[in-house]
Amino acid sequence: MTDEQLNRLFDVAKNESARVSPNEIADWVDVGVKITPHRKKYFLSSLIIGISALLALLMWWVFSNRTAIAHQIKNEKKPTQSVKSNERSSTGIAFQEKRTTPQPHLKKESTIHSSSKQKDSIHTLLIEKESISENIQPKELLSSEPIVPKNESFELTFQPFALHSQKEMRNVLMILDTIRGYRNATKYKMDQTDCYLHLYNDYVVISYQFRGKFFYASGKIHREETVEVNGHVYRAFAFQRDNQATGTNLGKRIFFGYRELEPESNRIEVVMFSQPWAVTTVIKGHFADINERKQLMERSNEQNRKRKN
Amino acid sequence: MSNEKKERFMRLYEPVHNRFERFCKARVYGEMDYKDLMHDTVVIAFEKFNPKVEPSTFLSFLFGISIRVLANNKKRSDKKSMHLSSLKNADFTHNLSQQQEEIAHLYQALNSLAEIQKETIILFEIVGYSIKEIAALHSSSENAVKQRLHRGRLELKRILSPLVEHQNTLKL
Repeated sequence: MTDEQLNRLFDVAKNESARVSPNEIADWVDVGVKITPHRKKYFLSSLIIGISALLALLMWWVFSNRTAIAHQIKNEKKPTQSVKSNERSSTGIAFQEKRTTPQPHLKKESTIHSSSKQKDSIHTLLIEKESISENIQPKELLSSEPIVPKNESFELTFQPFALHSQKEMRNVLMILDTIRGYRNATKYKMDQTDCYLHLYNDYVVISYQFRGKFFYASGKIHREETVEVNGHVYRAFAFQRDNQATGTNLGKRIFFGYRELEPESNRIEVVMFSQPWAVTTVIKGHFADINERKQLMERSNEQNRKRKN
Repeated sequence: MSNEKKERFMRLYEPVHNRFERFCKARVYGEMDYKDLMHDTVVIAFEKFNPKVEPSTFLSFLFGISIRVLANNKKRSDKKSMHLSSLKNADFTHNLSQQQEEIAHLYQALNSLAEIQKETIILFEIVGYSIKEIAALHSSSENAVKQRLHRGRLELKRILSPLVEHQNTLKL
């Protein structure tokens, strides 16, 4: 096609007569007619939907927890035993914590719904309800607790802890088996000690040891997300170390996530992030079954008895 | 007060009505009914109309609103409705005169260009805007406008060449 032919087409389009008459335009232009900006429409509609959803969630939460809260208040007891920290440290500061007996194991992440489940279980969960405000600093958690003498050796065992908040019902215990660096093919088996990750409601404890190197971190989860890394979707969490065993690294943020390797397979993969969300370490493990959980508890109780004696 | 505003608005609008309609028709061919665009633009323009606006800038004022209406519309665009709308336009071409058919082919070819390129060509070739006016409307440089015009024309010639060959074959 030449330029002349194209220009001719444009001339034809330019000279095309109008189909809409100005009188029609005059009819459209009416003082009462207003077009609501789309942004306002979206804002109003999303505001209404958001408020309705919040109200519905609130009502559901109140209704579902009404019975559970009533029974918990009724069955509330003070915990009797104390647990000590399990972190090896030269400072040897331990956080004496009131011990609670955990619920019997559910294979995967379990949700505690009502008191009827608690009644059926072998062990009853002794919960000391402490509602802690959002702004509480990790140091405040430690301030009222006694400090044990230095140079005390700690063994790595399962240490359940008191419930700090009722934010989300969750009780996930994972046994950690192997570890490797993200960019390293070499995999190491965890040492023959109790290596675990315990998610209890909005609190987490990570404890493991490999090649003699020990890692322990605990704290309250303040951030929860779903993160995709290399095509795999992880449930990711962030918490600040309250380090109930030692004062070092207090307040340092830890980012980690986990996923099931296959559905119903019981195998899990935990990743540690250096910052959101750069993977540094990959840990493979499995959900603890009833026996593993039971044995872990028994070893913990044994350790506490020895310490007392 | 409102009648005065309306009268003033229509006095400014009538001289630019044809150009405005051509712009809307060419701009939204295959995407939506051009009357919808005209309607939305005129209603918003009247709502925001300041009686002190200069007649020379009134058409640019309308084009600016149209461009924003189209941008908002694009975000919410329903592919199904676009498909139906383009089908509607396709059916329409069967009962047209040769002149109208040529215009329809031109608009279809324009539709395959990038949005900003299409707009530039429509404003320059069909509406009769100068390069300077187009640059002011799009907030870009005159050189950028010239580039878009040049590349747009090349692309249109490439797209419409088979049509011209077909017409020449028919004449033989």
